[in-house]
Amino acid sequence: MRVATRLGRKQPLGETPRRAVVGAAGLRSARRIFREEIIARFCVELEAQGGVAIRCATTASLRDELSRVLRQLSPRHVACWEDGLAEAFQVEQALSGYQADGPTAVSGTARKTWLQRIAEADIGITGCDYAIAETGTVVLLAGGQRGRAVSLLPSVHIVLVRGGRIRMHLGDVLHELGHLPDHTGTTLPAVNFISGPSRSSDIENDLSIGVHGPAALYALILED
Amino acid sequence: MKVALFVTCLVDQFYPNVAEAMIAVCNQLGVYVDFPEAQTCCGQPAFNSGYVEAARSSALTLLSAFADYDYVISPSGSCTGMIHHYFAKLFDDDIVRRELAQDLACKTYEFSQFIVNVLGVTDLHAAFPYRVTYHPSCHGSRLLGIRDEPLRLLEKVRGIELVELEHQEDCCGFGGTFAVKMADISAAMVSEKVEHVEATGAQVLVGTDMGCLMNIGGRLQRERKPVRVLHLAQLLAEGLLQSSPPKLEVAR
Amino acid sequence: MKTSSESLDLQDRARRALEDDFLRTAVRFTTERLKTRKKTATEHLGRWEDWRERGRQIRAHTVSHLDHYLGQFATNARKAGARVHFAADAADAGRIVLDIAKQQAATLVAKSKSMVTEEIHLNRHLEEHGIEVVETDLGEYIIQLAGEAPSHIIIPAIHKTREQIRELFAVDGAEDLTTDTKALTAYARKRLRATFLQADIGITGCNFAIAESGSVVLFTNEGNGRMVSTLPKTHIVLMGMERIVPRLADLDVMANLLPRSATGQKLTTYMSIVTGPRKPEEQDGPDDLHIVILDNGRSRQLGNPEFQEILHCIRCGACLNVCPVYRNIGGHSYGSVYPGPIGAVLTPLLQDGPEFEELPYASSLCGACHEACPVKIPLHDMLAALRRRQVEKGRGRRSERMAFRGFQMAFSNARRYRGTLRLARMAQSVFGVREGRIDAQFGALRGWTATRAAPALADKSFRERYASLKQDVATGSSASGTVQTSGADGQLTVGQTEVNRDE
Repeated sequence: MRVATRLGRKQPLGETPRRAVVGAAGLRSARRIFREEIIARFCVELEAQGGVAIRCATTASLRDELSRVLRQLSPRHVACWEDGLAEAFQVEQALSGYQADGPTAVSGTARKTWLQRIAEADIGITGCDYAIAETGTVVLLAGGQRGRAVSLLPSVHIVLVRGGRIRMHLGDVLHELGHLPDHTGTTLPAVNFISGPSRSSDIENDLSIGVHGPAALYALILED
Repeated sequence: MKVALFVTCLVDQFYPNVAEAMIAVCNQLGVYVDFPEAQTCCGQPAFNSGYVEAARSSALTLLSAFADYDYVISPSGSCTGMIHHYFAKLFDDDIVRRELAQDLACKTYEFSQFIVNVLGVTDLHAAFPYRVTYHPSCHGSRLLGIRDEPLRLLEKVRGIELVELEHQEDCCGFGGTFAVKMADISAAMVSEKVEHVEATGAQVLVGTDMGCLMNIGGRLQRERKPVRVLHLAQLLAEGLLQSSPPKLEVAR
Repeated sequence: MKTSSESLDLQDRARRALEDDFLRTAVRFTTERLKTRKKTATEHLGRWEDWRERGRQIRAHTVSHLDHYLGQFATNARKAGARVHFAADAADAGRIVLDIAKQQAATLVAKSKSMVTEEIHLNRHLEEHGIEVVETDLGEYIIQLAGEAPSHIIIPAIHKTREQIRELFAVDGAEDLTTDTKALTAYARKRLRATFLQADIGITGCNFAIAESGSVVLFTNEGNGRMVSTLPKTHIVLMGMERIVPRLADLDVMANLLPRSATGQKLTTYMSIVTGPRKPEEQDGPDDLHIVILDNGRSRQLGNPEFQEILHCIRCGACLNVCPVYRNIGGHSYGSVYPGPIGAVLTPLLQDGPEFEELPYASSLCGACHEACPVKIPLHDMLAALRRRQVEKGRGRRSERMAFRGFQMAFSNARRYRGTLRLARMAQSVFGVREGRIDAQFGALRGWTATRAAPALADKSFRERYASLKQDVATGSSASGTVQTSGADGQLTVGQTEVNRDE
């Protein structure tokens, strides 16, 4: 009320005021961009942020690459989204032997135990709903069995990306988020945009990686 | 073309030869420059310190002094900026004066802008065979929008060696009353500026605002640095004497 | 809103900072780096001026319809399951947060970096009531250990050396720590990981709030923002009431302006859009989300044509990085939570008392802040307007008031002006004029002459010389007769040696 009065209105404005332009309309060139360029750009930008981008032509090669990365890192435990991600990318085999036992569905008091398990994992594997080429970003929507902590607590985050989900700009993703089929406005899930490993320059401007979040980010991109 | 000089207080009282140099350059281009006596100050020192009434009363002298001229030229980007950006606001509640102020803003030019943008001249056939660095003053560049006009004039000077001043966009620490009120901070700022000037190895520092040049020059002098400090008009006028080119007729 | 070293005034603090070589070097180095990185990042984006203008439009539209968008945001945030609280001032906000903490029987709070919580001194308030509060941003954790306030909006511990940091961590319990960045960071990671997992409540600020979806948007690099908004059972968001943008599409513009202006990044490592608490089927995320919307002097700026735009600020810190005053004196000299040009304007606006009346004078009005601002706030104009407000309130110094009364008398009329200056010419002899300059170090000029030579008034002013000036505007006849410019008075030549013209 005080706000409306200060702005010279008796009542808060009910109707949404009109304006000429919304968002970044018209600020970017409208040229058509092909998938190859988008994937290539995503890889370049992600690596510029200190991430590792690995392009895989088929599910078979993605499985091989994942196995190779896991062998290289030799983790004790690996945490993975439990929403059917491993099945969708056909990597169950590659993960077997690394995954720790523990509760899958969590509610109430079990949460702390579940978080503890994720915190003890060396690697967290997630999918992503979108990626952004211009900034080398992966975009993760929270939801059932897609724990937010999986991309946050382990030292290494491996994200499986479908080439077709990469967009050129942030604006493209925000636009789609605003038009999600089951999500309108206020039921938007929690969305995390992740561009590379955790970083800080708080100590004498010296860049250090892996301050609180993961110290390494691998993106395995399935091209087809 | 009736052209008046808005001399500005600093030049009037401390650096009259800057105004004379401006006139010399204008004469060279066929422009006669009038000096209406009724002018005093643009009021900026008062305005920036929060004394709007005082600013208004001295601004009024400019409104009446320059009413009858086609162009008003000044040796300061800062004082010109004051006219351009704040005069109309100063007389917001007085339609007649506000219009006068808007008129004045439209026809008032800083020296280098007048020569380059109004007269359309960049080559004065001047000669100045020294190593020179240029400090763009904050108000001139940011408030008024002087871009490369001074440099375009300087580049055409024969024999000149222009060296870029590092961190040229940084304020020299003058800021009118700031230099006295926050003297320690101002001193630290001017010391930085002098370090950068010195690093260029320039023999001459040139600028378009005597406030900044007085500040930087005062520090150079205190540190006994052998750098001459010149207003752009002085450099050009001196360059004209050295080369003695034929008079041009660009303006009527 | 005062920080430490309260007994000193601005100039004393500045003087002390000017003598601190490490501070000046560190601040200069950091701001220079951020400035360069910003330049690269904006060039990379292209059409930066158009993006800035769009950012300004979005902020202007939102703030001038804040009544509508605040209402819309609160409604939608509640629909999404968040509890929304409005706090009129710092005390109110403190009370609301404390109540939530008590309801949860909370003993440990983990915080991510938030200027708003600094503004209301939330940590102190909670700690007074027996609740432990841990800052988890690396820089904030360092200065919390040191018991200080942030000295930069984006890089709070800009003023600390690695040796000082090592000592602080040693007191905190670290053993055998070197001053290696990796080692220091690793200690903080381990130490704070426990806090994240044990904390009852996570508190964050809010970079932007989206009215159409009721979402809160957080930008961080370290990941601590995600930790405190994901792991504890309760997440409390503190937000200034002006943080809102209307639509998700507007976030596109803000997300391009903020990180580029703040750190020169295209996007911060993490950007999180939080809409309500966790959904029932989710494995993690907070059970409760509280959003505390703070006024604390902000609504007072609405409807004021001179100052409303201060609410457009997106807290990027770009104005600090270009400010030559900030670069020389650092953040603590300002004595307020918000340092730099934004602080010099915002602080006295939010808290209109005599304690911050010096702040608007800590600027040479060079306008670099305005030029750097991603939403084009005219900070230099606001500084001048604040000075005017001081004068109107009669707060100016008496000597200054007298001086400008004199100015008004003398400068409102050319004859009086001429007369006054003639008197001044006579008077200046007491200052000891030598070769056209003044070195005397007393009176009002002392601040100047202590470090710089001051010019003396010319023997004759220009207006006295004009009458005898011959102007030869010609027609191609001769090159002679131009005005000679090398007058003996009004000396401009400085330095001991004249430039050798024969070399």
